[in-house]
Amino acid sequence: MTNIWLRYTALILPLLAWALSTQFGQIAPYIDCQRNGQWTAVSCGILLLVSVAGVVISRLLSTGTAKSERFIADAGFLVALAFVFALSLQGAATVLLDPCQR
Amino acid sequence: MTGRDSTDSRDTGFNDGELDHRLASVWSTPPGLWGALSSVDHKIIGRRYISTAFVFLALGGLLALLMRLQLAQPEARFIGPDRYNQIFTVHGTNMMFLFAVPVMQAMAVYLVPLMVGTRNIAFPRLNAFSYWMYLAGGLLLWIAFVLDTGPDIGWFAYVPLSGPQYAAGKRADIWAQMITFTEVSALAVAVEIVVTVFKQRAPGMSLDRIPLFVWSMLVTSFLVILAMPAIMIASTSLILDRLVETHLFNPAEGGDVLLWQHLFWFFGHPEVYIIFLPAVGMVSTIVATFTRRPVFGYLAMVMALIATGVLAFGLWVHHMFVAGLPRLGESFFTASSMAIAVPAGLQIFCWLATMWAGKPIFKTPFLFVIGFMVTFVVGGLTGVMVASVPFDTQVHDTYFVVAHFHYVLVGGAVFPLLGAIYYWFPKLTGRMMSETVGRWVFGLIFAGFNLTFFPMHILGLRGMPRRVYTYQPEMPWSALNLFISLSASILALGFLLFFIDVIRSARSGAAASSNPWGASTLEWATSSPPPPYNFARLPVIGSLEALSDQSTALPVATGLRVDRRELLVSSVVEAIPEARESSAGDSIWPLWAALATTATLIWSIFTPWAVVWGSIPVAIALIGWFWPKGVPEDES
Repeated sequence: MTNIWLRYTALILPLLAWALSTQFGQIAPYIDCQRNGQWTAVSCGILLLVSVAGVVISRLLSTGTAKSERFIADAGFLVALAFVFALSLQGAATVLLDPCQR
Repeated sequence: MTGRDSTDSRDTGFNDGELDHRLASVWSTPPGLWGALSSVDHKIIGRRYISTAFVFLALGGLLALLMRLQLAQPEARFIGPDRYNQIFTVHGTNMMFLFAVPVMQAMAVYLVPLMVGTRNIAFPRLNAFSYWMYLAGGLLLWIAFVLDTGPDIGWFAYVPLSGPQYAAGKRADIWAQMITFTEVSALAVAVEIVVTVFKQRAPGMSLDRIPLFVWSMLVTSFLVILAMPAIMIASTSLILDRLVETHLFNPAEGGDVLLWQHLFWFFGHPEVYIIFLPAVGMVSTIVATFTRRPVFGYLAMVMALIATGVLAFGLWVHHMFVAGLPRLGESFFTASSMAIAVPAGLQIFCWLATMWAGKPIFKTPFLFVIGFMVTFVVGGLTGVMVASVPFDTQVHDTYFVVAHFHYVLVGGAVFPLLGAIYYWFPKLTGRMMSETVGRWVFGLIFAGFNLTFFPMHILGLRGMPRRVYTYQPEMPWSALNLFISLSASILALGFLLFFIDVIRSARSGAAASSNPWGASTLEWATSSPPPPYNFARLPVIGSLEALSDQSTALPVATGLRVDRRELLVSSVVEAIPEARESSAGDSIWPLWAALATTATLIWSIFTPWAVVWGSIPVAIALIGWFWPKGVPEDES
C-alpha cells in the first residue's frame, strides 16, 4: 500500500471498524452469554484501536498534498471522528450491560 | 481536445444567435404527444416527476384528513376498521414511496445537471424509463385502493401479518409489487445522479467546488443504491412466500419472521436519510442565497453529509427494540443513533453561523428554512429520546412515535422542500410565486403542523396506540383528538393555498429574470426556464461560488459539436475534461420497456409464469432500446 492510499485510511478504516463492530454486536452477546466471555468488549476495543490508528496514519501522511486531495483527506478525518465517537459509545455499552439481558 | 472528424461542426465557429438556433434544433423535444412520450430531456422529466409527486402528496393528505375526521371523536363510525387499515397503509406507503423519495430525486433530476454545468443527465433514456415505472407503481397502488383492494398491512408490511396465513387476497401483493416499481425507479435515478456528478461536471468544478445540494444528492444516491436492494429482496421474498409457497418468513418451516424486520429496516432507516439529506442540500443552498454569503463550514457540511449517510446504515435495529434481541446488541444501535446527532447538530450550527455572519433576507424560501430548523430540532430531540431502549419500550407503537416521525419527516423534508419550490420555481417555470401568498402558506403550514402534531406526543404518553380506527370515550384522548383534527384543517388550508399559488403563478406569475435571487450556483447562469441544451457554452468553474463575481462574465469551454447531442466528460476529482460524448436522443423505447415491465410485474402477482412469458416483451423492448446506431459514442 502506498502513501497515497494510506492518506485515506481515515475515510475507510473507522467506517469499516464501526460496521464490523455493529455486526459483532449482534452476534457476540449470544456467545458471551453462553460462555461467560468478553468477546463483545474485546472486539469493540480492538476495532476502536484500529479506527484510531486509521485516523492517526491518515493525519500524519496528508500534509503537503494537492488542494483537492487535501480536501478528501480532511473530510475523511472529520468523518472518522464521528465513527470513533460511535465506537467509543459502543465500547461503553459493553462495560455497562450484561450480555444475557433481554 | 482534438476531434477525429475534420468535417464536424464545433461551437467555436458560430455567433451566439446562430449557436442557440443550432443547439435548439438538436436538443429540443419534438412537439405533440409522441414527442412528449419520447422526451429524454432531464428538465421535462424532472418537472413531470415533481408534479406527479405533488399530486400524490395531495392524495396522501386527503387520506390523512379522512383519518383525522374518523378520530375526531370516540367510537366514530365514519370509516370502518377494514377501510381504515387500507387508508393508513396507503397514506404511509404513498407518502414514503410515491412522494418523499421520488420528489427529492425529481428535484435532483431537474437541478443536478444544471448545477454541475452539463447539458443532460447521464443515461437520459433510463431517466425516462424511471419516470414511467414510478407512475405505473403509483397508479397500481391508487387504483387498487379505489377498488377496495388497497394494502392493509401498514407501510412496513410485517410478516406474518402480511404473509399467506393472515393476509388473504391480493392486497399484500399489491404493496409488495408497488415496492418493486418505485425501487426500480429510484435505483435508476440514483445511478444517473452518481454518474452525472462524478463524470459530467463542468471543467474546474473539483470535488471541493461542488455545490452542497449536489453533494447531498450524491450521498443520497449512494444510500439509495445500498439500501433499496434490501427492500426489493424482502418484497420479492414476500411474494414468493405468498405465490409459490416458499417459507422464507415462516418459522414453522425453517424461515425467520425477524428476517423481514431486519431487511425492511436495513432499508427503512436509511430511507429517512434518503429523504432528509437532499433537504440538507436545499437548506444549505437557500441559506447561502438569502444571507448573501457562502455557507459557514463547507468542509464540515460535506463531512456531515457523508457521516450521516454511512451512520444511517447502523441504526436500523432501533426500530426493533421490542423484538426481543439482546440488550447489549441493541445498545450498539443506541450508540450509533446518538452518534448521528453529531453531524446533524453540526449542520444546524453551520447554518446558524451562516445566518449570524450574513445579512438574512426573510423571503418565503428562507421562512421555510427557519420553520425547518425549529421543527427538525424538536423531531431530532424526540429522536434521541426514542433511541434510548427503556424509553422506546414505553412509547413503542404509540402516538408519541407518530408525532416524532412526522416532526422528522415533515420538519426535516417537507418544510425545506416547500422552501425549495418557492426558491427554484422561477427557474422551473420562468415565473415568480407570490411573496404575499407564500407568507400565508408558511404561516398556516407552520402553525397547522405544530398544532396538529405536537399534541400527539402527549397522546402517546397517555397511551394512545397507533393504527386504531377508533377508541372508547372513557379513554383520556377525546379532547386532544378533537383539537388535533381541528388543527389539521389549518394545515390542509395551508397546503391548499400552496397548490393554488403554484397553479396561479405557473399561469400568470410575474416574469422571472435568469437569477432573481442573486444566487451563486450554476443553475442561475442560464435563462429561466433554461433552454433545452441548458448552456450554450459550458461554463468553466474557478471557485465554489460560481457566480459570486458578478463583475466578470463566466468563462466558458468551447469545442463541442453542435450537429449532435454532445456532452463533456470530465475526471472525478479535478473535473478535467477527458472526452466529448454523445447524449442519447429522444426515444419511445423507454416507455415501451416500462409498459412491458409493468405488465410483467402486475401479472406476476397472479402467476409465477408471468416472469417467463413477460420476459419476451421486455426483451423486445430492450432490444429496440439498445439497438446499435452505428455512431461512435465518444471522442477523446
